[in-house]
Amino acid sequence: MRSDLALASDANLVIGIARWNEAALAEAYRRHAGAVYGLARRVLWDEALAEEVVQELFLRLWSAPERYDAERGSLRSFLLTQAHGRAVDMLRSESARRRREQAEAASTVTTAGDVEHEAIDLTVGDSVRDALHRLPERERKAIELAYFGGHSYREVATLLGEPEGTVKSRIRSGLGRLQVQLAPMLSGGA
Amino acid sequence: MSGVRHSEIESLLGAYALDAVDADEARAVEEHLATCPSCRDELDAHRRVAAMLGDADGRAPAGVWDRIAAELRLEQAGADASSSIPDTPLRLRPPTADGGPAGAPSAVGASSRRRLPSVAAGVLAAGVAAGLAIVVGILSSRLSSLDHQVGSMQSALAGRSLQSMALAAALDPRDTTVQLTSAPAGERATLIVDRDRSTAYFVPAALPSLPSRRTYQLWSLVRGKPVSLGVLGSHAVTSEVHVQPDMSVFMVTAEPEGGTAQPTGTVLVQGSTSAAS
Repeated sequence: MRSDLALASDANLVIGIARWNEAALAEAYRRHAGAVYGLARRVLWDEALAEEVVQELFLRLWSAPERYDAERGSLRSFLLTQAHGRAVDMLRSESARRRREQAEAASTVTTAGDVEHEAIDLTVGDSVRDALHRLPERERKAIELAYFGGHSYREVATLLGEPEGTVKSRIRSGLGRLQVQLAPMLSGGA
Repeated sequence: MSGVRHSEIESLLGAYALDAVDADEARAVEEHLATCPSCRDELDAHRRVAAMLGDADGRAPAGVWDRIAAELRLEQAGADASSSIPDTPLRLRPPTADGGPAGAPSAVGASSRRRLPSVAAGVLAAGVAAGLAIVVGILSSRLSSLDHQVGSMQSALAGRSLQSMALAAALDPRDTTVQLTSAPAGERATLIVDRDRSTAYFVPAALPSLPSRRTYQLWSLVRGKPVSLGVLGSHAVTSEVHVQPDMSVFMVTAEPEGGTAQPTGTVLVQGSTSAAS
């Protein structure tokens, strides 16, 4: 029974969850909770809040599995999208933002250069990192500040001293470029 | 798909996929997505890329799954306890997936647990915490009819994690449930005092995380004086505490890390056993 679940596809796990099978939720958790937690912590710099994100997401998956549409992407991609959205919501509450800034300031990764960038190097896989590096510097910077920094594109524009419209289109074109470079992995992983 | 609108929205899709637009813009994008398949496709692609950026292997900390599992059990207990709520066929449309429902492995497919109707389930899902309080509320009104279920429930909880013990206590009509609430802020917790009146389970329902150098602390008033029952941490989880039979008023404050001998913060939530009032 346990091994059946371990072999089930993510899509079938979601069907199990839709039928209120708790073991299916446990298996989905086993596969993806670590990644959800890692991303939430990366954005929030707060372990307790990141745990909250994990708990919320899997309870939401339990109560509303129909929100996941297998045609729109993998379960992992769906969960990471939700994790990022929730983490950014939390970050936009002022106190969480302050805590993050304190944690960042206290962090020892304050060697000269690009702190934001080094922290990313620790988390993303090789091919994703390579693809990021191949982006034009300004596109990469805008995407990193928005995605990992949890900043809105307007804030990114202020941070980089560039017009909002420029930042907006850099994010979009950068994501498009990444999509092309990561295409082999994207088609295989979805 | 009107021209100006479409290109305006399109230009926001990258930032929207990174959750980097403001609320008004997000609403505009979502409205547009409902009627524009090409924007939906572009957004899906951006999101898949973003998810890859954020994807890293790792483990979630121990204990998080226990909290999730405890939620599911409380929800289930609420459904079973509420015999007046009819079984309704939920999820008429299972999520589409490769092979469809028929293709699901039997281990995944076979499950026929009774559930809350969708409205109640939705309320529960709306927040862990809110759910807890509601289920406990349902339970306490139906405890008298539950007596015979308690024994089997308790033996079924062989794992006996703290959460399951708290649940077993919540199901036992001989125990006392104290709702700790705060009128203005909506914070909530439940204290289930065991029938032996010396053990109690503190179940946080809606208590936001505190900054890391602060902690929640549980108190009881004994002859008008606050007595500490324990330090609950900055992120309160279900905890076992020791109480005395004459304790009837309970409250939670936020204190400096490590706790204090006497409360220094304002009372965040409080409640008392009905016997006391």
